[in-house]
Amino acid sequence: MDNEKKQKRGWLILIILLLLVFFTVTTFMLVSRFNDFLPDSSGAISLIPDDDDSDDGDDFVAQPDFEVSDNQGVWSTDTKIDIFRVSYENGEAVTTVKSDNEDKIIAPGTENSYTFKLHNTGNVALDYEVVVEAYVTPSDLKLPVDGRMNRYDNKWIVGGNNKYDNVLALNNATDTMTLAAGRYSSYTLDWRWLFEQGDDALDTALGTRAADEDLTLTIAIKTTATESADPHGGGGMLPQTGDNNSAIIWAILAICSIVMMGILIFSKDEEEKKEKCKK
Amino acid sequence: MRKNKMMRIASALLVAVLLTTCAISGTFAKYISTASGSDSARVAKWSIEVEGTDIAISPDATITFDLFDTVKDTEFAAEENVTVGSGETIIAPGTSGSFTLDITNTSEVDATYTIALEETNAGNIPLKYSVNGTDWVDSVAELTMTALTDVAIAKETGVAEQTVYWKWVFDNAAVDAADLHAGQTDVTDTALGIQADDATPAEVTIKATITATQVD
Repeated sequence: MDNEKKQKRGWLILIILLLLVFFTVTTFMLVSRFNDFLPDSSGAISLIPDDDDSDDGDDFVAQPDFEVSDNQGVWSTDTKIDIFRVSYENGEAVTTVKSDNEDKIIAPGTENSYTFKLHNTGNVALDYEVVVEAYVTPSDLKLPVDGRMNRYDNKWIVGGNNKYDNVLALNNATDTMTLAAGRYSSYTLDWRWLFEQGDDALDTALGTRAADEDLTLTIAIKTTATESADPHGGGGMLPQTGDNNSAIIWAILAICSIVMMGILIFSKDEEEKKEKCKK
Repeated sequence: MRKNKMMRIASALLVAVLLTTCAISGTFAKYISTASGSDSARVAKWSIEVEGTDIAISPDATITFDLFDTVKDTEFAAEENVTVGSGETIIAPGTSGSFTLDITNTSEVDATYTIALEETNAGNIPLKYSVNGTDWVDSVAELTMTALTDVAIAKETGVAEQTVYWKWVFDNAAVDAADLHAGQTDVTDTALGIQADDATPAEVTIKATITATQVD
C-alpha cells in the first residue's frame, strides 16, 4: 500500500515537473513575441516583427489589403460570375443559341472568355494562391467542352497558346505568385464547345438528354492572399494611370493651340498700336 | 492533504500551460484574405418534332404518310368523277392531292431541316410534284434538292408547315408541254388504266425522311 502511494506520488511529481517545463518554455516564447511588438518611440506598433534594434523612429506600419474583381465588380464570397452566358451569337451577330428560361447554357458552337483581376491594394507584398474547381453533374457526364487558363504574363496554368485541354483539366488547377504592394495580376479562362468536334452523335445525345434533365458544368475559382515574408518584394503589373489615347496627337493639338493663341495676341497688339498711331 | 496540494499545483500548472499556449498562437496570427466566384451552365436542349414525333431521339426519322389520303381534281377541288374504292386509295388522270408536315423546333438552338422524299413508282405513273402548287417537277428527288433542303427553323417556338402537292395532269392537249410529265401521253395514261384492271395495278408510294441539324 505504501509502495503504491509512493508510486502515485512519484508520477504526480513527474507530471508537475513536466508542466513546469512547458509553462516556462511557453512563457518565454510569449514574452519574446511581445517584445517584437512593443511600441517604438513614436508610439506606433509594428504588425510585423521589427528586427532592427536601433530606434530610428520611422518604423513601417504594414497595411495589407487585397481585392479580386472582374468587369462586373469586386468579388466577395461565392460571387456569381459570368463565365457562361444565357445566349450566344454567331459570326454574323445572329443569336443562334438562347436559353428558354434565363439559365446559362452551353451548346455545340458556343464559347466564352472570362478575365478576373487580383489587386494588392495594401502597402506590403502578399502571397496569393488561385485554385480552380471544375466538375459536371451528373458526375459520369462526358462533355466535349475544352478549356484553358493563363496569367497576364502568358504563363499557362492549363492548356497553351494553341492548345485546349478538356474543361475538367481545370479542376484543381493552381497558381501562386507574390504580388508587390499596389500591383495587380490577372487571369483569363477560355472555354469552348466546338461545333464540329467529330462526334455529332454525342452532341445530339447530350442535347436530347438535356430536354429531360439538367446536365451542368460548374467552374469555381477561389483566391487566398497572405502576407509575404518579404513585405517589399513581389512582382505584378503596375496599375494603369492614364488612358490609351495617343499622347502625340494631344501634344500636337496643344502646340497648335498655343501657336494660335500667340497669333491672336500678337495681331491684337498690332491693331492697337495702329489705332494709337492714327490718334 | 499533501497529495491534494500537489494535485492542485498540477491542475494550476496545466491551466497556465494551456493559457500561454493559446496566447502564443494569437501572436502568430497573420493577415489572410479570401475571395471566390463560381458559375454554372447546363447543356442546351435539342428537340425537333415532326407530326408530334420527337425526331431528335432518332436523328434521321422516317415518317410514313399517305400522300394520296385526300384525292382531289387537278384544280384541287373535290373530285367528282373518280370513285374511291373500298379500302383503297386510287388515283387517275385529273386527280391531285397534298400532304402537310408540321415541324416544330422547341430546342434552345436554331436549326435547319431537310426532307428527303423517296418515291417508289415502278409503273411510271406520271405524277408531278410541287411545294407551292405553282412550280411543278417530275420527281420527288428533284423536289428535295430544290425546295426541301436546309430549310431554316428558329429555336424555342419555331414552327414550319411543309406541304407537298401532287397531280396527274388530265388533258394533255389542254396544257403546255412543260406542265406535262415527261413522256406522258393519252396512250400511256390509258395503258395504266387498263393495267389497273389486272391483278397487279401500278402503284406509287412516297417515304419521307426528315433530318434536322443545328445551325452554327
